[in-house]
Amino acid sequence: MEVDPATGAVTVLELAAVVDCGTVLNPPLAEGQVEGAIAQGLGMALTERFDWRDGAPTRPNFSDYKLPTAGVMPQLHVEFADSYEPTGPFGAKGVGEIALDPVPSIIASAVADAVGVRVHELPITAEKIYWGMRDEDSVRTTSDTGEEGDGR
Amino acid sequence: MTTLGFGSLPVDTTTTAPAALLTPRTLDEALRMLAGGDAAPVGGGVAHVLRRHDHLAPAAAKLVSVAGLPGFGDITVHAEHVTIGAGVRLGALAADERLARLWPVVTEAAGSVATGRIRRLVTLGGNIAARDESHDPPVALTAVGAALAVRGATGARTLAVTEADRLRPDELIEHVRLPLPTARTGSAYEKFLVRGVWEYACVNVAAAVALAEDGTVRQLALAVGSVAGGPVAVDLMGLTGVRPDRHLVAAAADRAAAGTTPYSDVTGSAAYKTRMIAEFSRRALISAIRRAEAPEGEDR
Ligand SMILES: Cc1cc2nc3c(=O)[nH]c(=O)nc-3n(C[C@H](O)[C@H](O)[C@H](O)COP(=O)(O)OP(=O)(O)OC[C@H]3O[C@@H](n4cnc5c(N)ncnc54)[C@H](O)[C@@H]3O)c2cc1C
Repeated sequence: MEVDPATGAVTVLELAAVVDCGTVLNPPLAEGQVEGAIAQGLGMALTERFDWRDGAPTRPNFSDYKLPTAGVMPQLHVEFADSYEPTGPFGAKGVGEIALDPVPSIIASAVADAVGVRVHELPITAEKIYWGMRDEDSVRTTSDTGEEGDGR
Repeated sequence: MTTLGFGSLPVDTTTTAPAALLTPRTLDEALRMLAGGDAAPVGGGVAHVLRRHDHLAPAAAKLVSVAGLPGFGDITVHAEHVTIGAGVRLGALAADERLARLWPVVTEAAGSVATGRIRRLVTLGGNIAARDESHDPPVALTAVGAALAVRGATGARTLAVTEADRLRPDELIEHVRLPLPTARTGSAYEKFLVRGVWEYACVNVAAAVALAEDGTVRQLALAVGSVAGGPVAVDLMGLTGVRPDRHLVAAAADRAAAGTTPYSDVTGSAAYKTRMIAEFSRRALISAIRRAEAPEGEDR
């Protein structure tokens, strides 16, 4: 992963996922599930920001709420653990969601490893990283800079 | 401009009034139609389609299609200037090799707009007339000192790109006129997509630099978009006549940051954007200077 020190912008270059989903019933489908989950995890980590007020989204459109696109997908490596789930059909268990969950936290950790800034709130915006690189202590307090209208 | 405010949910489903789409064959015919007062021009039609999408009434009862008018789709290199017809699609503009050699800042800005499918449809005239301060082509055109050739039923006049708000409803942008760059000129465009996916720019900056025989800066221009009143031509008075070095780049970038007022939105706070305006001004200027210094015929 790369962080541009002048802007805080993150580029994810390569990502490896090893998934324990019990018996892999259909390998290409399971791999597709994991790739899709990683895309959604990257969106949650980097591009998607949900803003609401009084219980309603302030901008219910996809021009501000950006989904990740093919252009931001890193090179992927997907592997499956050799495992068996006794309670599942043929030893299988769920595959889609579990591959999504860790993505935001590994991106946060990779950012911390790259530039020493630990972002504690999603999404991990370039701006949060930028201010964090200039003043470590300000990360948490300014994490919502520019994100006016937050419903909190 | 992207602001985070209360979003209105699309609850109003009243059907929109129909509009007539007129397709004049000549400029005079188009101007007569527009002089009627109940008509609006259509370039690629994106703004008009979005109105329908948002359940708004049509801009006017008669929509006059202008992109196909004679000459409106032409890019012509004259002896002393270049003209780009108002009906030229941004995709065609981005792909024009002559312009890419003369003013790469313009083709880069056109190529940075939206996505390929949208660029195939939208026109330069519509992009300028829409008067959105974050649109890309007007920023580049401001930096190169382009002018709008405007025509109405009562006559023709010229406006600066930053004066597009003075366009009257019965007037058409006919073409955009760019000066020809002098020898040893370089230009470059920077659009910062802060989330790495397509959207309107966090900041967008255009730079143009002309060097004298002795390598000092003869002319210098920076324009900034996605700021209040954008595109803004940055005042760089007093910065010419010196070598194009680090100090000059830093001084010009500081002027750009100090002379513009960005707004907070989903792509960043105003404070962050001010820093980014300085950063991307530096990047645009450095590319422009490198191109100006490159020997004739090389990548400029
Ligand atoms: C999803 C999306 C993403 C976009 N992203 C970008 C972007 O990144 N950067 C960017 O710069 N733009 C962007 N745009 C804006 C797009 O470029 C504009 O919608 C486009 O410029 C409008 O061009 P048009 O030819 O469709 O004009 P129209 O929608 O037909 O017209 C726009 C306005 O100009 C008037 N008009 C049209 N032609 C003329 C003329 N010759 N003389 C006088 N008035 C005229 C019309 O009456 C109307 O008021 C985006 C649009 C969309 C939908």
